[in-house]
Amino acid sequence: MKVNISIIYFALLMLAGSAFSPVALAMDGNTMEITRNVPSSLPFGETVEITLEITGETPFMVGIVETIPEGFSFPEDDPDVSDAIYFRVDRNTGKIAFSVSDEDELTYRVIPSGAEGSSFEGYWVDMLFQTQELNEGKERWVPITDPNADPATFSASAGDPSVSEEPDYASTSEAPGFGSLMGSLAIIGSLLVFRRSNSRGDIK
Amino acid sequence: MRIRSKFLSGTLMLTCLLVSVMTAAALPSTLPCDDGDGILTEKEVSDAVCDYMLVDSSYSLDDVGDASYMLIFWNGKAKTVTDTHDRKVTFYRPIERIITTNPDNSRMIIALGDLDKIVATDECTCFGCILPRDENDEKIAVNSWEALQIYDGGQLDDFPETNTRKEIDYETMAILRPDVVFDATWYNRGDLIEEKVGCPCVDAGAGFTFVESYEHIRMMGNVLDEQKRADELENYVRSKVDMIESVTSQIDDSDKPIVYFAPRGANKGFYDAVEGRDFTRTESVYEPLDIAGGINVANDCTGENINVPAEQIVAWEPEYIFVAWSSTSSLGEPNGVDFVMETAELSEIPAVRNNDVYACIYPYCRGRPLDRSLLNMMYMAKCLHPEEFSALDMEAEGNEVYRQILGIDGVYTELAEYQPFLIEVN
Repeated sequence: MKVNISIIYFALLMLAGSAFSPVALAMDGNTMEITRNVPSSLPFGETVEITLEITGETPFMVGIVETIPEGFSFPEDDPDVSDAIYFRVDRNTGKIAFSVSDEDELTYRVIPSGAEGSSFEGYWVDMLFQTQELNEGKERWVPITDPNADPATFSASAGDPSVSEEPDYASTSEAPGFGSLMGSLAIIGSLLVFRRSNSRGDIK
Repeated sequence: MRIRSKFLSGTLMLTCLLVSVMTAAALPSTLPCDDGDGILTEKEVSDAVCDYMLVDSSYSLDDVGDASYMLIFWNGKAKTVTDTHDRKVTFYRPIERIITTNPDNSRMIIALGDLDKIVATDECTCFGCILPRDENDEKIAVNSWEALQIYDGGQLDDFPETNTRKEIDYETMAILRPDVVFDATWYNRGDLIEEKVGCPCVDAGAGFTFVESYEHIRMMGNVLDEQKRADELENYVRSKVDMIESVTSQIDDSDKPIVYFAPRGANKGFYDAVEGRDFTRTESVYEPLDIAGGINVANDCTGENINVPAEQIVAWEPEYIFVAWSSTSSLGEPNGVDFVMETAELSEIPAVRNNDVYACIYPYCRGRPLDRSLLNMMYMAKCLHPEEFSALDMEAEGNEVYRQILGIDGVYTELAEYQPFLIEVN
């Protein structure tokens, strides 16, 4: 009988942990949008320019990260990659990050050099957004809009257009805060319950 | 034996020292993402943002977001404000989590649009000083309670309570990690709260003059970076004061009625030893009454919440009496006005003889609520000078007051169901 109660406690704790896991953050005030424009033609070996259009009320400050498709690369020298004031390139992961304040457009350059690959992928974060949430995380990252996102339009990518990689960032399971907190509580709670149950057994 | 007792007392002292050190939380003193010089540059913050976006950083989104906010809105520096007690309070992070210890500051935060930043508050904000309850502690104006939603849903009484009138729960406050605590001015404990909670504390509040209200609005707007909304609110309050004063300032003082104001009501008769909620308490300064075109009989007295003998009230011969409607007044049951009208000792007062004894809004609630000051100003003007203010629609004006302060519609109309005098004066 006691075992059954313990199992019920455990189930309830796990349920609580999973129920509170996704953190719903207030994003009501956000009226911004960032749109990616990719040229319709992406010839092998030639430098092409990707444009990010930013619309929103000033003042704003956003962080942006773009992941370029497999088979694409950045120009060798950073100054050739972008004219933006603040950006950083990680060639190992194929990522470029920007910090942008009150600009309505920025560009970066890539070189299509292979036939395999997926689509461009990017996220932005409103850095001025205020919320009482502690431990904010990637649940606040917003996908960049791409009106021509169909990978079939990329002459350099021959991959299956219907297959797209699930973005790591968008997963709410990675959200810190209550998710991990409640998960931890659930585990600790279950350990306590079973410990209590075991100690009773020892006494008997 | 002596060595043992010395050892014990030494251990005790050490323990006390450790406990005192542990309970004193450290105030923040550095800026996020700063290189240590106390100024955030565009490059510092932008580099931190890029690193964060590449997931190549020890900074959290909270860090880079706060740094970005301070760069854009605070010129990359810590922000220092002067509170009501002339204390310099410095902020090293933007304000996103607020704890209030009294309703006046809670109300002002709501009026400035930052209700969703409050993480905990006092028992009176939760209980019935922002929106009311009846004598049975049941919510009245339930639609208004429902409309005033806190962050993540819920009503005002869903906030964690971190202080009562007499006690403050510093430990829970610290656990909630506020960016600021707004404390009432009469406690003078801002430094203590900073020490115990480990965050800046601003002493703020207002009195019964509108100048104090304007200062309160401006200071809170400055602290919360809501200057634009603070300007709007101040202009609104000024416009209402001007609306009444433009009329009453034309009336000669000799034509203004002499008024006795009983702000604590009269439900307890002449003497209430516990709370002082008796007819003989009055205020020497109550500007809403002055602006409404009344001569306060206690003008020449000094101090707040003064107690006068009943014989003095009779001797003053007030032409009008305003008796605050106590929260314990139940609809249909005898109230403060009934006490005044039915008490033999007061029967010779002109106001009683001429049936010019009126209920009015209780002007306190662990503070000096701005909404009540505004409403009493308009209400008293209508009572004292009905012809001059015949076009003043109390219900419309009252609902507008609450729309401005609480951001919701129909509050006054709902309140009037329980306090009928609010619209009977129309």
